[in-house]
Amino acid sequence: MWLLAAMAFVVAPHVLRLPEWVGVFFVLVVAWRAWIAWRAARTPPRWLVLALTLGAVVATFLAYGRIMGRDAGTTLLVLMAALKLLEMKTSREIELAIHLGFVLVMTNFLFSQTIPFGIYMLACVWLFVATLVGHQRGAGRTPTVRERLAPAGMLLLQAVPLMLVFFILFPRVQGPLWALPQDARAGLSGLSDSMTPGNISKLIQSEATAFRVQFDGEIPPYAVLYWRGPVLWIFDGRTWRVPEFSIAGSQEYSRAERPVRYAVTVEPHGKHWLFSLDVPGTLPRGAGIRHDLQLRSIRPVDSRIRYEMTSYLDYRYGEKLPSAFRGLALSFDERRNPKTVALGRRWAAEAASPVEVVNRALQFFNTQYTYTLEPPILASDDPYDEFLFETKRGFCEHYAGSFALLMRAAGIPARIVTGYQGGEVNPLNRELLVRQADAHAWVEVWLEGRGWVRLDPTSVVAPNRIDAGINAALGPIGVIPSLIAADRLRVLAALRFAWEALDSQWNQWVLGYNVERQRQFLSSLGLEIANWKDLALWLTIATLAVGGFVGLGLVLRDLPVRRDPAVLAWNRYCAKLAAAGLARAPHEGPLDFLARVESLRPAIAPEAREITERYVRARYGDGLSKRENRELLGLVRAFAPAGALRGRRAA
Amino acid sequence: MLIDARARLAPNPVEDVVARASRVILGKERQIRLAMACILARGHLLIEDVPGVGKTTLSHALSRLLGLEYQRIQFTSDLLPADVIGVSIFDRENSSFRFHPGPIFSQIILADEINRASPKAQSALLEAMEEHQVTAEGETRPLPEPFFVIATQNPLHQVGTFPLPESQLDRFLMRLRLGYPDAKAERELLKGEERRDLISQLEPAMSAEQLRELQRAVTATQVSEALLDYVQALVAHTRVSPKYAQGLSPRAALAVLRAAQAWALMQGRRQVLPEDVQAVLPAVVGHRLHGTGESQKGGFDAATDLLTAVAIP
Repeated sequence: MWLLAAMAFVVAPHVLRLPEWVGVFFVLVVAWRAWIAWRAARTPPRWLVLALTLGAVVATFLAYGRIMGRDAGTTLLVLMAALKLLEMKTSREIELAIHLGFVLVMTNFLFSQTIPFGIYMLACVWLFVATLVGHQRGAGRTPTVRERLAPAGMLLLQAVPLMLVFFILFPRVQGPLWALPQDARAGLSGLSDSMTPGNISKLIQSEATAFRVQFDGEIPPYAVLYWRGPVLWIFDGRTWRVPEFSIAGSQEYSRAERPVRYAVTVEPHGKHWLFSLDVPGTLPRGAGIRHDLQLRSIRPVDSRIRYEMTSYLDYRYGEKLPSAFRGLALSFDERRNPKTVALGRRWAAEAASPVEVVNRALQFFNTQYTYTLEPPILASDDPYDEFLFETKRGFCEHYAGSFALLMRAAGIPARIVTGYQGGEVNPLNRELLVRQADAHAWVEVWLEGRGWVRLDPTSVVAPNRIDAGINAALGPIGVIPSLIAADRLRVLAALRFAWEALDSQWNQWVLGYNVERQRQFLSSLGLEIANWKDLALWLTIATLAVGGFVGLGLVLRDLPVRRDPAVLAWNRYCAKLAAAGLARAPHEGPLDFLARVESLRPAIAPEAREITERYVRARYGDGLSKRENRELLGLVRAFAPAGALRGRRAA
Repeated sequence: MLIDARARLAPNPVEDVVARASRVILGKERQIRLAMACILARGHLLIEDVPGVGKTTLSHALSRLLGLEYQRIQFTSDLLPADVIGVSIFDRENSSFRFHPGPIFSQIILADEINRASPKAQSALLEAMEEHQVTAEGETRPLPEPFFVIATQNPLHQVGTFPLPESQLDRFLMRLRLGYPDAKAERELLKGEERRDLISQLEPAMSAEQLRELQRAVTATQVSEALLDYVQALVAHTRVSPKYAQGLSPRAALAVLRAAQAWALMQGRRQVLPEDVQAVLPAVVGHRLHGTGESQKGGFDAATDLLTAVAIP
C-alpha cells in the first residue's frame, strides 16, 4: 500500500534519531497494518487502539519527562501517525493520514536542513502527493505507478512558482522562525570556554564545518589566518578558562591601513563567540567585543549566522596594560607544575629582557618536542611538568598551555587564545572553509612597548601545521579518518570542493535567507519594502499573479484547436443560437444540432444549413480556403436567429 | 449537396438490403443498419438477446440478401472443434487421408448460440475469425474471402452458457441487441406470414463484387484531424474516468473509426462526422466497457454515458 510505503520513507530518518523502541513500535504497527491490508484481516478493535494510544503517550512521557518539545513531540507524532494508519477505514481518515505525513515531513526539517535531506524530503512529498492522487482516483482499477507519480509530479511542478513567491516574499522573523526548544541545541560541537590538555585534539578528529569565510579580494597568507575565539586568562594548574566576569576596558589599538574585508558564516555551536582575524575593525550586528578583542554575540549562536567583518592585519594593541589585567595575566598556582615554574623563573633571572626570554622559550620547544595528535595522557596533578620534562609529545594546547605558564612564571603577562587556524580554500568559489579540525590554541604575551604579541609555539615545533594545515603536519599516515588523506587522484577533492560550494550557496541563500537578505534581494529587484504589511501586500499580488499565469497556461494549453477560424465562427453561431434559447449540447454533433434547429426554428433553417454545411466541410472534409472561411464568418455575422433579442434581454 | 448526397448514390444496394431486411424483421431498421455497417467495415457481428426476438432471423436474412455463400453452425455444449473446422477421413480408393472441410469454409458463418458451446469449440471459431485461416492437422488452410461471422448468443445469465472471455469478445466489431419489437411491429408480425418462408423468398440484393467495392469505399472515406480528436477524446475518457473498470484499447478505437466510416458511407457521405461515431459507438464499445462502482452499468449504458460525457472538440 502506497500510504504505508510513503509513511515508512518519511519516518525512516526519525527512526534513526529517536530511541529504538519508537522505531520498533512503528515498524510493528506498520507491518500489522500491511498484514491487515494484505490478508484483508479485521482492523483491531477500538479499545485496543485506544489502549495503545494511551500507552504511547505514557511511554513518551517516561522517556523524555514531557510530551512537548522537539524530540518528545516528534516521537509522539510518529507513534500517533502509526496508530492512525492502524485505525483508518474511511476515505476521510486516509486523507487525514496523508496530511499527517506532510506534517511529519515538516518535523524532519527540525532536525536537519541539508541539501540531500531536502531532496529526500521532496521525494517523500512527491510520494504523499502520489498517494493522494491514487486515493482520489477512487474505486475501480488500481492506478499504475506511473499514473500516480506523473500527475503528482505535475502538481508539484505547478506549485514551484508559488513556492518561489512564498520563499522570496513571505515575511521573515528576525531570528529563527520559531524558537526551538532547548533540547534541539544539544550535541553541537565547537570550542569550549576552557582548555585542558587533550580537549582540542578531540575536536580535531571532527571534519564538521566550523565556519565559512568569503573574502572580499585576496585571501591573506595562510600564516596570518588566526581566527580568534575565546581568550583564556584564568589558570588553575591544569585548565585554562575564560573569565566568568566580563572584562570591560578599552580596546585601543593602533592599526596600519591594511584592512581585509570578509563575510563569515558560522555554523551553530551554541556558545556566544564569533570568529574574526586579528584585529577586528568592525562589529557585526548583535555582537559586542571584549577588551581582549573577543567578539561575542549577544544571543548564543543557535542557528547559522552570517556577518560581515573588517580586520586590520597590521596592528599593535594593548600598549597600556591596566594593573588588574596585568595581575590576571601573571597569576598562576605556585603549588602546581613546580618544575615548569622553576624553569620560567630561571630564564627570567638569566635573561636581560622579556624578548630574550621569549626567544629562549621558543628555542626550547624547537629542540626536543614532537607534534602529535595522540599525546600520552597527562594524569598527574602537574600536567605541564609531566609534558615538558617527561612525555615531550603534545599538541597545540600542550604547547600553548605550557608556554603561557612559562611566560607567567618568568613575569611576562601571557594568555591563551583559542580559535581556528588556517582553513581550506575552495578553488571553485574562492571560499575558505574552516573545519573543527582546524581548531588551534596559541599564546599572546604582553611586552613593554609592543603590547600584546601573538606567539605560536606550535609553529616552532611543527612549522607546516601553520603553513599548510593539520594534515600536512601529521603526514600522510593520517590520524584523521578522512577522505582528504587518501585521495591521491584529487578527484574526490574536486568533487568535495564542488559540493562545498553548492552547500555554501544553499546555506547562504536558502537557509540564511533572513530579513536582511530579503530586503537586499528585493531592493535589487527595485522593490523597497519597509515592513511586513507591504510584504504581505506584495505576497498577495505575486500569489495572484503566479496563480493567474499558471491558470492561463493551463487554459491556453487546451486552446489551440479553437484557433481554427471555422471553429471560431461555429462557436459564435452556437452562441447566437444559445442566446436564442437553442443551446447546443457539448456532445451534440453539427448535423444533429442542425436537425434540431430545423425542426424547432424552421424560419432560420436555410441559413443554419448553409453555416453547418460549411463548418462540416471545414472540420471534417477538405477544409476551407481563406475566402471561404471569411464567407463563413460573414454568414455567421449576418445570422440572426429569431428570439435572439428576447434571449439577450433575458440574459 | 454534401448532406443530401444520399440521393445521388441511388439505386443504393445498401439501402436495398436494409429495406428488404426490414420487411422480414419488423421495426428494427436501426439494428439492421448497424449490422450492415459492421459488415461493410469487415467486422464480425455478435447479436445478443433473449431467445425468440429474431436473432437468427436477422442473420439469415442478411446472409441471403448479401448474396454470399453461408453456413449455419448450431453451437451446443458437445460441439467439437472438428465439427467446425473439418476432419480428415481415410479414403480407401486413394489409400490416403482426405480433408473434409467443415462448415467454417464459407463466406458467412452463422454461429448460433455461440455461448452454448464449450470454450474449446468457441476458440476454434474465434481463431478463424482473427486469422482468416484455420489450422487442421498441421496444415494451414485459408478461408474464403469475404469471411464474416455473425454470431448470436443468449444473455449470460441464462442457464447453460459459457461466457465468452473478454479477449474473444474483443474480436467482434459490434455487439447488437435487438430488444422486443414495439406493439405495432409485433401486431404486424403476428398477422403476417411465417418468417421462415419470407427468408427463403429473399433474393440477393447485392453481389459479392459490389460488397467488396463498398468495403473499399469505406476505407476511402475522409477522416479529418478534428474527428480523430473526437475519437481520441472518447477513448481517453474511458482510460482516466473512474467510472470504467478498464479503458478502451487501441483496437477498440480503430473499430470505432472503421464502423463510423462505414456508417458515414451508408449515410451517403464521404466525410466522417461526429454523428457517425455516436451512431455506432454503443454497438462497438458496448461489449468492451464495464462500469465500476455502485452503478455496475452494463456495456450499452456505459457507452451511452460516454457519449454524453465527452464534448465534441
